[in-house]
Formats: sequence, C-alpha cells, structure tokens
Amino acid sequence: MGPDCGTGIISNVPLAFTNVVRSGNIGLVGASGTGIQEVTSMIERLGGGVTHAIGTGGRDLSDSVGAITMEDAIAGLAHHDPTEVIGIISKPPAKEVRDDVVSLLHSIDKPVVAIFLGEKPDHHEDSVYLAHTLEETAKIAMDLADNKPVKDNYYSKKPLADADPKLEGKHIIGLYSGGTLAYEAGMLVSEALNLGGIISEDGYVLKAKGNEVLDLGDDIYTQGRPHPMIDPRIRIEKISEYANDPKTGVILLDDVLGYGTDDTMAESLADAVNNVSRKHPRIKFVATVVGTRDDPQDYDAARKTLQDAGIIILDSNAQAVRYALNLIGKDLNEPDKKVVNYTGGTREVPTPSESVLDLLYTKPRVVNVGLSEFLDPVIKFGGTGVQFDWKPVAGGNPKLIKIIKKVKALQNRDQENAKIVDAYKKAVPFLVDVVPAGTVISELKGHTLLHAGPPIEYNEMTEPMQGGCIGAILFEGWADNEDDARQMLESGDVKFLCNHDVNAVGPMGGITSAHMAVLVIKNALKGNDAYCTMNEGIGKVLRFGAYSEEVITRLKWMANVLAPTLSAALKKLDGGLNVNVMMAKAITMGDEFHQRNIAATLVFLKEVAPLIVSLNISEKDKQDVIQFLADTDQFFLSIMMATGKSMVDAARTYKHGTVVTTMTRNGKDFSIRISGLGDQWFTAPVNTPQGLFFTGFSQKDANPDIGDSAIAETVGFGGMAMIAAPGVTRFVDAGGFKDAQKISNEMAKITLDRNPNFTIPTWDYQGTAIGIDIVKVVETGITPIINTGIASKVAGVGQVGAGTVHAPLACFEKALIAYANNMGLLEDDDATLLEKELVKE
Amino acid sequence: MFMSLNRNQTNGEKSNMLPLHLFNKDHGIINTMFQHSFNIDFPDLLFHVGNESDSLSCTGITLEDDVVDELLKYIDVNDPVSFIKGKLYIYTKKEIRTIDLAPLKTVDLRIPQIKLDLDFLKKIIEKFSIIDFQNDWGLSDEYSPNKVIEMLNESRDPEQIMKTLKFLYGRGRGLTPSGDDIIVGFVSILSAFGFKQLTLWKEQVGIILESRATTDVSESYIQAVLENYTSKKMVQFLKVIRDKDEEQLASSILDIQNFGHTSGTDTLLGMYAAFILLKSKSIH
Repeated sequence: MGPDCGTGIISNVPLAFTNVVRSGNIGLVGASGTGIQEVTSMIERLGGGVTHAIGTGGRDLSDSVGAITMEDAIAGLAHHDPTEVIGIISKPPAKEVRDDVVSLLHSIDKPVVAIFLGEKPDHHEDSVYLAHTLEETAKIAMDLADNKPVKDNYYSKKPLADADPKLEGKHIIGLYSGGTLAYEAGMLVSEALNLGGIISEDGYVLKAKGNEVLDLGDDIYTQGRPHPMIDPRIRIEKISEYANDPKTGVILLDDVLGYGTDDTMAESLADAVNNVSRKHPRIKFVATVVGTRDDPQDYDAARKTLQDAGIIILDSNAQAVRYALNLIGKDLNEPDKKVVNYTGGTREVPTPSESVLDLLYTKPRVVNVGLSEFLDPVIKFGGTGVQFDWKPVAGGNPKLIKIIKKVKALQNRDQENAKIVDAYKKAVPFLVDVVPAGTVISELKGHTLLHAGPPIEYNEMTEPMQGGCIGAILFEGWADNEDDARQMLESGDVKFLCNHDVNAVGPMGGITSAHMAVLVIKNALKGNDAYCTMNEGIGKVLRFGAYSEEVITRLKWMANVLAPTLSAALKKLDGGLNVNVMMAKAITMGDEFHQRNIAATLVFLKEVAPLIVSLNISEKDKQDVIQFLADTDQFFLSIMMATGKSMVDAARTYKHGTVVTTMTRNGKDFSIRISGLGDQWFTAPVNTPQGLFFTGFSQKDANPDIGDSAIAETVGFGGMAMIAAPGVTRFVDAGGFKDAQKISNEMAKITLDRNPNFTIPTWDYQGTAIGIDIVKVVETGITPIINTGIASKVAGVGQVGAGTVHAPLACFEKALIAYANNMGLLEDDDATLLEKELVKE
Repeated sequence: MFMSLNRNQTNGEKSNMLPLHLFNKDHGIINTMFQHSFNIDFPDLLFHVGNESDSLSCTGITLEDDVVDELLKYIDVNDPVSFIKGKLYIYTKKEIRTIDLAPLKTVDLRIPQIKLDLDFLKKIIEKFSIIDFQNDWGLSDEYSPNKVIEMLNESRDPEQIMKTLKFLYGRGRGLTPSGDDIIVGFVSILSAFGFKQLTLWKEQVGIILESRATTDVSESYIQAVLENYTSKKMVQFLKVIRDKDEEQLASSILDIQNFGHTSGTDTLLGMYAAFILLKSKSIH
C-alpha cells in the first residue's frame, strides 16, 4: 500500500482500512482506497471473491512515479494462477502512464476490467473491459470470473426513482468519508448536470451551480482530527450546515464499514439525519453502505439503522447518486459498450520478482508500524506480524521538534534533572502525627477551604467538589443546613486555596477544612511536612461530594476519636512510622498505592494495632479505631498521597530541570508543575476516566478526572506501576497481566530513572519508574496514565467505578514551551504563537 | 512455493480417467461434503476427493487422511473451485486452498478385460455364498435379491432391459441408491468379460441416465462404468479373478462389501447377477 490508499488485501488478510471479503479468482490493483473497498465489497455481496487487492497509493500513477507499483502488481497477478480476472481501479493517470498500463493489460493472458474514474468509456478493447462506475467494475469482474459474456450495459434502462415534487431545494450535496466515492459522485453529478467536471480544491471534488460534493477525508479536514471514517463529527456538522440551506434538495452520504472504521457510524449518521429531518423534513438523504456481512460491523444492521432514520439506501454509490439525480428530475446516460479491437502496442510481461510472488502465494508477514489495532485482523485472518510502536516525534509538529532539540542541547539539564530524581529516591518519609488541619496549615483561617487540583472558583467546580464544600461547611458548623451552606458558597463568602499551595493534598474533591484531621508526613531528607485528609472508607463520603448526616458524623468521629488515637499511637514511636519500609513491603504484595492499598493498609495496621491496644483509652475507641482501619482497604492511599507530596516538595526546593513535580486535577483542568518553573501551573482540560463501572452505572455517569491523588503517579506509583498490581488491571479495565506490563514499560519511556526503594517482583525486580520528563512526554506523545476511582458526576452518589485516564498532552507541551522561553531559547513571539496554536487544537 | 495445503500434501493417488473429463480453467463448486471426503461439481465430472483409507474413485483422487480432514475444516458447499495448470484451487471463505494433482500417483482404473473360464466362474459364484444378500442389501424386504437377479438375467431385449433398469435406477436411499449400485456391479462385470449384449445394456443405461432421476454422485459412477472405468476396489477384484487368484477371492469380495453402508453389498449383488448370467450363457 502506498500513501493516500490505506486499503489492501493480501491472500485474504485485510490490511488497514479493509472489508472482509472471501477468497476468489478476481485480483484487484487500485490506486484508491475506498474504490477498492466499494468494488471488493460489491463482488463479495454478489457472491464472488477477491484474494488479492493491492493498493498502490494515490501517487503511483503520477507522471513522476509512472505506475511502478501498479505494473509490478499487474505482472504479479498475471503470474498468480488462482487469479483468473484482474481489475484495475484508478483515477485517470497522465496519458503516457495510462497508455503504458493499458499496453501491459493487453499483454497478459487474463481478462481485465479497468476503471479510470472520471473517464466515460464508450467501448471495450479486446479482453480489456472499460467501466464507468465502481459498480459496473464489480459486475463486469463477476461475469468474467464466472466465464459469462460481458454485457453491453449494466445500468437499468429506467430511472431508479421518480422526480420528487415536494423537494424545495434542487441542489445535490455529497458529504463523503471516502475520497474515491466522493470522486465518483462528483463525476456522475457533473456529467448529468453538465457542470464541467470535477475539481480538487479545499476538500471539494465538485462545486458548481450550488451542487457540492465534499471529500471530508481530504487533508484539509483531517489535520489535527481523525479521519471521518473514524470520527463522525465533521459530517454531523456539515449535515446540519447544508440542511439549513433552503436550496439543498438531496444530501448524499456513505457509510464505509470494515476494519479501521468507526463501529457506530450508522448510528451517528442516523442521529444527525433524525435531528435535521425534524426541522427540514423535505430534504432527502440518500446513502450507500460499503461493506460485507463479515465485516466487524453488521452490514444489514447498518443499512437498517440508516433506513430507520429515513435515509434511502442503495446497493452502490453509483446507484445512490443516480437516485439523487432522479429525485431532482435528472438522470444519467449510460450507452451500450461493444468490444472493439485494440490497436495499441503490447509488450513482454515482466517476470515478477520472487518476493512479489512470495507475497501473492503466501500469507503476509506484517510489520505493523503505528496503530496496533491494525495488527489484530492480520493475525485473525492467518497472517503473522509484529507490532512496532512508532509515532512521529512531537506529533510531527516542526516547532515543537525545534524546541525539543534546543532543550535537549542544554548542557546542565541532565544533571539538574538527576538532582530532582535523586531527591525522590532519597526521600525518607515518616508518618509522625494526625492533627486538625488548622493546627498545621496556617492559611486555614476564617471561612477558608482547600480543594484538589489547580485554582478553581466554586461555580466552576463539578458536583462532587461542590458537594464536598457543602459537607465541609456543615462539618465546621458555618451553616446548619444545605441551603445556607450553598448560599455561603454562591455569595463568595468562602475563600478557596489549592491543597498543593499549603503543603497538602486531598483525594477526589480534596475539600479540607480547619477541623478535619490530616495525616502528617515528615520527609527527613529536607525536614518538610506534608498533609492529607484521612480516607473515609467507601459509600457516601465527602471526597465524592456526599454531605449527609452520616458523612458529617463520620468526619467528626475521625477528628475526635480516630485522629487523637492514631496520634497517640504514633507518638509511642521514636520519629514516627517509616513509610518507605511499609511501601517496599506492600509493593511486593501487589499494591500500586493508587487503586490498591490493601496490603499497605494491613502492613500499617500491623504496625499500629499493638500501639493502639497499649493506649490508655476506652476499649470501645480501641475497638472502633482498629475495626475502621481493618474495614478501610484504601486507608493507606492518604498516607501515600501525603508521602508523595512530601517527596515532591523536598525536590521542588531545587528549581531547575524539566521533571514533573506535580500532577493534579480539579474536575475541570489537569495541571502540572515542573522542577524548573516552581509554582507555575500548566493546565489543560481534564479527560474523563474510562474503566469498569459498578452495577447500574455507566460511562455517562462519570465525573471528569478529579483529585490530588495523581501525586501517586508523579512519584512513580499508581498507573506508572501498573505492573506491580496485576489484581488492579482487571478492576480498572486495563486488560490482563501483559497489558499491565506493556503500560508500565511504556511509562518507563517517559521517566528518567528507577527508584530502588520500591522494586517490583513482577517486573524482574526493577524499581518503580520515576522522574517524568516533559521533554520525553512531548517527544513521544506518551502521557502519564493515572489509575483512578471514578466519581459520579452527581454530588453524593459516590464512587461509580474505577479506571484509567491519561494526562492531557497539552499541559506538557505548554510547560515545555514555557521552560524553553524561560531558558531564553525562543524568539520573541514564538512562545505566544505556540501557546495560541495549542489552544486552537 | 505454495503455502497452506501443499505444505502437507505429500502422497495420494489419482484416477487415470480424470484427463478425459477435467480440463484447464474448468470451474466447479463444492457439491457435497462428507466426514472424510467431498465432491467438486465440474462441468464434465463430479470430482471426488477421498482419503487414503477409502477406495480411490475413478472420478477423483485420494489424499492423506489428515490432509483431507484439514481441507474439510476450510471448505464449504458451494465454494468455487478452479482447475488451473494441474492444480485445484478451492476458493474458501477464508483463503484459497490448493490441491496439486501433479505429485499424485496415477492409478489405472480402466476395467480390465478378462477371459471367461467356466470352472473359475463357478468358484467365484460359490464364493459369493459368504454374502448374505437378503439381510445386508439396501432394498427393503419388499423385494428379494433373487427376484432382482432373475430380472437381470431374463432381460434380453431393449424393452426388457429398460424395464429392469427402470425398476433399479434410482431405487433405494442414500448417496448411491441401491438399485444404481446393482447396475454398476452388473455392468462392470459384463464389461470385464466382454459380454456380447454389453453394448445393448450400455445403450439402455445411457438412455435412462438422461432422465437425471438419481443423485449426482450415483450418476457419475454409472457414467464412469459406461466409459469402462470403475473404482480401485473393483479393479483389484477383477485383477484377482483375471489372475485366478483363488486365495484372494474371498478377501477381495469382502473388500467391496465394506464400502459404504449397503453400497458394497448392492454392488456385489449386481456383480453376482452378472456372474450367474455369464455362467448360464456359457453353459448354453
């Protein structure tokens, strides 16, 4: 396959954008992807088969290339005995190239059907049969394959439909995802309406007298967004746009099925048509479905879905265009074609190379570069292959590539980064106390609340965070009911600060108030402290936005009983509890410290239970505290979060380099900080986690990504250490063990080092991957993966599932630009211009 | 160079009748599939692909058992087949499967010519006593084997022959109806011994075949006999009696009987009737 032609079938193994077609005695060579798809699918539906369909690339028949691949392919198929009929699909090549190809076709001893789309042949030449449409190509190929005589005419004599007197507009609009289908539609409409032929301008293949046919897969529409065969949005927009034009009479559509294309395109198109049809009932929609019954999508179901939306479905694109023309009172003219003698020259058919014959006589052995999904059908259909993960550096953005080169050339950066990573590795975190937040965070004065993520106003918060605010007000007694609490918040009576700005972190909403208990972690490396509220367990909890009496009562118990008990217990130890030791044990027991903390929680309980028992407090309190810790699998999460915060804050005292020192999210934005730029936030809209949902919930219930818990991934845990926790990979819908290994190996590509304190048995005792480097992230396009609980987007419902979410790339790109600018590597306006480009994307 | 099937295809046999009916670029389709064999319907031949454990049919080939089993996993009824340059290309749903006929050993399945020896003929007839026709044949109790033998023996003119054939042709159940098997056995023996009314019999069989009232498979076997070709087991039996190999006589009869559910017994009945006829003509 060459460029601009992502379709190929080799020995019935589908390659890239391809339909599932049975084997047969027809072989195709095509310079167009959807041209091959339309013809192979029709042959399959007509009962025939195609063993090889060789995509040559759209540029192969240009003057400069001279059809090298097409001629190789023709010679190969001529020597492939089971191929008895050869089909050629191309837009019209330059005359010399065409003559050359045609002379080769006349030199082989197999019958040929050829379509040079755009030409209107009036005869056949000996054994080379010339078709006008893709449908005619398929039908001639079928007759040749069955040893039947080729007919003079393959088109119905009568129009396919009567003119529709109710049509208000008379213009035909084609909104195509397939380039060759658009080209064919443009050609037929132009011929019927005498519009002067097709064009190639700004995605239009026809734009004349109000009739417009668009190839929405043209580069102009696919820069920075997926192809319309994968992503229906551009077509939905255009359907709406053209439907609003009163002169539009008929809109033509294609739904291309097969590997590589969207599984629910028919539903998306049907929804779009249903929406506009309510407003514009007189516009007719006519479409064709390109595909077979063995495609991954259901061909019959796709047709039905479109038909149910009132779309008229025809068996081929050519018929759909003709039907559209008939509706506006026009028709195609397809004269009979007779066979005439070929008068041009012939030549010796080149002997195909051993490799070409090997390709045609064996199943392909594929090196799949890029999208790994394309390798699956290769294996499924009997081919073999290996995956080579590759992406263009920095997404191919030349400006970012230039910046990366300049940043990489900085002489001190490696040493600077090493110091940050060293600070992570040498962190010595101890759990020393549990205290009311207000006693250690001096900023918690008056009506002040802390929240997760970068700065955010109350009215921008998602419901779980807002609910947490209400709960905190009720807990603090600033109001005694929900309405008053909401009033306080809406009137701006509450001041908000980021946890991260006051040495703290908080899970999910992260709402922290002065009298809530926080764990205190002291990092002996720099002597700094970090704080995090304690885990409340599961069910209705403040961190997910619940604020019922049960929630407030529990928070009070945690502040009044749990915290003092743990505080007293910890004080029995000289210097507190060594967190590294507990984590080193727990990571070998299957924890990754974000979604799974059960081992660490038990190790913690093992340490504190004897201390609690020895305290001079009531037996009931001892029993309650130990029971709570035993019941709360994720209790250690908060210990880890405060630990992570203490690690990054110690490292952040050194303000150089390109290492990520914070990742956090507030439900609206994902933000990062990097070592060289201190407290500056680099922000992009958060993604919504994908994963598994508890019974009764689905993706539509999911709140966007939220919480300071991404501190886990910042210091190498959670998604970064997925391999440590095979038990979690299923729970977060990240596949099996091998997938977990793949994820962690990928994460190791964007980090600078391993942390020897936390070796992972299932990773050959390699340490956790630490020190996310923004340069590596932007260069590879690999963004950190976060393991996360999924909050309901409705306050108070709580956790509805668990999954993973990727940090948005834009944060890292923005940080890199800012860093380069700060280091004086950019021209005056570069930073501003680049920032604007990123925002536009 | 070829992959898939030929990787495994090492041994097998082919009938020497094939070149008479299978031509380059012939198109066929998979017509019928069985547990260990299948048929391909070509314009001029119902081509049988069997495994080594079965008898080579004059209309086909045999391949190693596991090769046939592997093929059967891929193919389906109505799959197209092309015969190109000595290879069968089966266009299955998933991929092309190829059978190369060139390496297969050609087996002569023409019916051997045998000179009549009355004494040995009597021995043959005696040996047929090991077959319990009444219980093992395929036609129901409604009919009697002896009655059928009588009918065959007493059919002398075209009218009588046609009447007998009309009774037998297509009668019974299965892929090769019992009546057809009887005809095949009967005509095979008459052919081997050059029975003087053979041409008359063959003409009448040819006429009745035109009515297309039996199965494709059965028709192809009858047609082959008319062209003087038969199965490998039948040829082996005929060679035994040609060589007057008395020791092998019983086993070669039983070999035939083992074919199919009742087909072998039915064929033997036709053969037996022919031997009786030959004996009576010879004596007279």
